[in-house]
Amino acid sequence: MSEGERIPLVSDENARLQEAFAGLGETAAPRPDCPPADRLWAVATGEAPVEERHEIVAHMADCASCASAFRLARGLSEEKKETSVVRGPWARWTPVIGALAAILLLAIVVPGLWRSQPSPYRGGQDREIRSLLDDASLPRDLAVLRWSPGPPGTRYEIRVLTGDGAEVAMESDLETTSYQIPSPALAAVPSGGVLYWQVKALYPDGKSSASKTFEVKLQ
Amino acid sequence: MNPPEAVEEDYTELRAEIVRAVRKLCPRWLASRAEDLVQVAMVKIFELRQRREQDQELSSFYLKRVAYSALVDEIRRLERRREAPLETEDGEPLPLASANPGPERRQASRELGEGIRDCLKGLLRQRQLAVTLYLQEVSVVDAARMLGWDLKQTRNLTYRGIGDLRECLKEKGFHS
Repeated sequence: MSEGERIPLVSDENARLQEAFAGLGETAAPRPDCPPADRLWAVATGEAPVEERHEIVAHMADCASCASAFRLARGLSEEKKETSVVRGPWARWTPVIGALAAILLLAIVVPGLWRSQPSPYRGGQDREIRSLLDDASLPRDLAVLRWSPGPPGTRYEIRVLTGDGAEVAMESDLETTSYQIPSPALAAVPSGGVLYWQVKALYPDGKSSASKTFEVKLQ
Repeated sequence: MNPPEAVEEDYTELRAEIVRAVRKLCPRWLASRAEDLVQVAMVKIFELRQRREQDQELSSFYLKRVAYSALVDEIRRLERRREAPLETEDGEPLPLASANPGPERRQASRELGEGIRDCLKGLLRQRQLAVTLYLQEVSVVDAARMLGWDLKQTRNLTYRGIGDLRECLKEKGFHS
């Protein structure tokens, strides 16, 4: 199970089911209707539209080859989240700001241009949003969530939930990289209760990405 | 550090990430080919790098995507070529994360896997999606995000779907 909340159903029996399902990959063969690798990657990383994600997940239920490839996509895309940038020997000496500005301008002028073909260049997909909380717990009267910024012009949407899925707060169109949860919204959360929070960044180029789900205790 | 050394270091790190993912996540029968798979992915990356103009930086995320496509294409090619599951192969396989189970356990697990696949077909669509991701070891939080549902709904669908799955497996003669 990846980061984030684990379903309480985790048990030896369910682990056996997961193992058996994964084991189908040992004898799998691709089918004519298997989606291309690019689409599996897009689903695993959340780039694909929701309808397409549903379609591919349903396909995986019956296709061990794709199920296996999907696990690889998740593993590889999550491997060492702090991704470095692979650069040419020229990179250190040649400013790329002009090129980036041009790409950004194009994306603004022609919305959706980059949506179906993520930019391979720096700033295209290396936009992981990280939690900037120093402490493992938040004071109830000053419950401020902070995260790393995206490129200038990025707007943010934040959602805060309790462990049982109850929504504590949700705010959209934020221009800042912090958000204070209103105290009244925390009234039902007990001291020591865990909050799960996630930020979605809406970039100026029309693309978006969601952060991992972070967790923090409430004092 | 001069620039060429920096490049070398970046690519070494990227290669190490690909190796880790392949070792951990590729089916066992590909263990002896893991190095070849990684090589196929790296060749693709170097080809891409050579085609790029010199003032462009390639993000490691993009390169991973390129590597992934190359890996999946190669794995599918091998899967198509394979007539029967390979139990052993010559050469020095890379170690895998999970231990190799015995033949009896493997057979039992295979039968259970086939039973699961059959049962999944009969689940209600939403439960089928939730359970499939659960079986893929995707957390409920990640599944909710992936399927565009709220957390509570996803949790309920997963619970109910797992219940349906167990019931179906029981009817097929699989017992916990």
